[in-house]
Amino acid sequence: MSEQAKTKISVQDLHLYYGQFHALKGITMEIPEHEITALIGPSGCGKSTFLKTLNRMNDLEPNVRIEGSVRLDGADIYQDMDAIELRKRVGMVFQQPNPFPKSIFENVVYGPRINGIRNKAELEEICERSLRQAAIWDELKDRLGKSALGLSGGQQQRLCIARTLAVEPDVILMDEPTSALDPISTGKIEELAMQLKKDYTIVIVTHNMQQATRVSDRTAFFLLGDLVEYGDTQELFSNPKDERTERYITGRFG
Amino acid sequence: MKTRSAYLEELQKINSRVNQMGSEAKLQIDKTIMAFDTISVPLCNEILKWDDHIDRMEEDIEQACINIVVREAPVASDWRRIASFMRMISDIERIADNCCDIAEYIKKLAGEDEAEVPEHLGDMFRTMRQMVNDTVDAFDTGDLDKANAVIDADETVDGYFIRIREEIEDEIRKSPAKVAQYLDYFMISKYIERMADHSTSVASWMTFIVKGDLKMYFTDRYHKAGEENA
Repeated sequence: MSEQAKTKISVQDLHLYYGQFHALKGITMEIPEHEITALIGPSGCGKSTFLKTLNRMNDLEPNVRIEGSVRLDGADIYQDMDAIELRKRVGMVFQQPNPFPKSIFENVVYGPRINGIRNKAELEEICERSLRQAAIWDELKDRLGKSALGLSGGQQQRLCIARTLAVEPDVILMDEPTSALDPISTGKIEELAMQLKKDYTIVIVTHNMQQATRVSDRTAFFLLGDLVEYGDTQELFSNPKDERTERYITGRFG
Repeated sequence: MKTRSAYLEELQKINSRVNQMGSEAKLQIDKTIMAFDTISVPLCNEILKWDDHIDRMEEDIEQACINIVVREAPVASDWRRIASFMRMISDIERIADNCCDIAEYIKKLAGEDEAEVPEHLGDMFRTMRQMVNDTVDAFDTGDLDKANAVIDADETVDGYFIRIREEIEDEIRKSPAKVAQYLDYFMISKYIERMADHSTSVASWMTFIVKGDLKMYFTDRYHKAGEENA
């Protein structure tokens, strides 16, 4: 994090329990604005659970108990904000592209529409702007009325990113956004993420360590619910401070 | 279940080959010192011939390093190790080359009238040899203290170089007819000084491997160069 970087999300001593299971064990972490933060770690380490706490996706799970605080621009997202307001500001892109079985246009303007925007011209403008930002306008502009389900996986994922951008969030959470994509589509999503960080703060969960080194400014390594190490990506991958990080990233786990 | 076993095996293999290349360089130095002490032309020829072998070792290790980078994308200490190997083997290869340079001058000396050997040249040779030996040992055992001692010893060799230059100046004044021989000695001492530098460089990369601190190596070097220029 450069010295000027402003903290976008501040997490303090965050604990999460699924019933008796202690899934996150006192996570404290400052996520800087306009940077890409990668969350890495083996399956079950808590990184996706942690990502979901950032827009309260875990609220929907039964038996979940959360302690500690998550602040977005200083406001506690569990105390001072309702979930709908929060999710407008913190969007999410999932592992499997999940377009609605609707037209491309309707997919993109879905959020603005349920937020009350009815004006056709305004919706069209939002659609174009979002698709342009997601670097997919040129590919889709002549087929906006066609079903989104006819797109390739990579296009669907960029469409989902456009759909997230349409509600003008501050933060975009990405949960393994390229694990179902080929290297070319992956490259496009990564390129897109790097362009988007100028305007957004991005947090990405990835199993692909090279992806973390390629796109992220900072990396957090989770293990068994602990945040083992968090720091500058370059530093973490060339000279990790913790032996467990070293073992994980060099593949000596197991 | 153990993971990445082929990778770890290959990494270990490259490590052993770097170690072996270091031992080969040590042997070349031993022979060079013996050839110098006895002005032995056959031994010089042997040194010159063996250099190809060391060059090939460098090529092989370099290729193995490139392969493992392409195939395995090493990170953290693995990456520091591989990156350092690629620098170290080039220094070791230079040390072996310098043995050949010296061997050529020994052959030249063998064809000239005998001249008094500069008093400290033998000591300089042996100090440099000890540095290379300690560097190879330090690499083998991961002993950073030993590597740091090598870096410190470089100054001793630099000191010898200045002293020997003065000794040579005196000898040339005393026996101007033997200028050619003394220029040979002077060149030999310069090569020894370079070999000590290469050894220091290898020892410095050890610090990078173990501690991940690249700055230490570079600032040290520039710092030193700055002092010399001051």
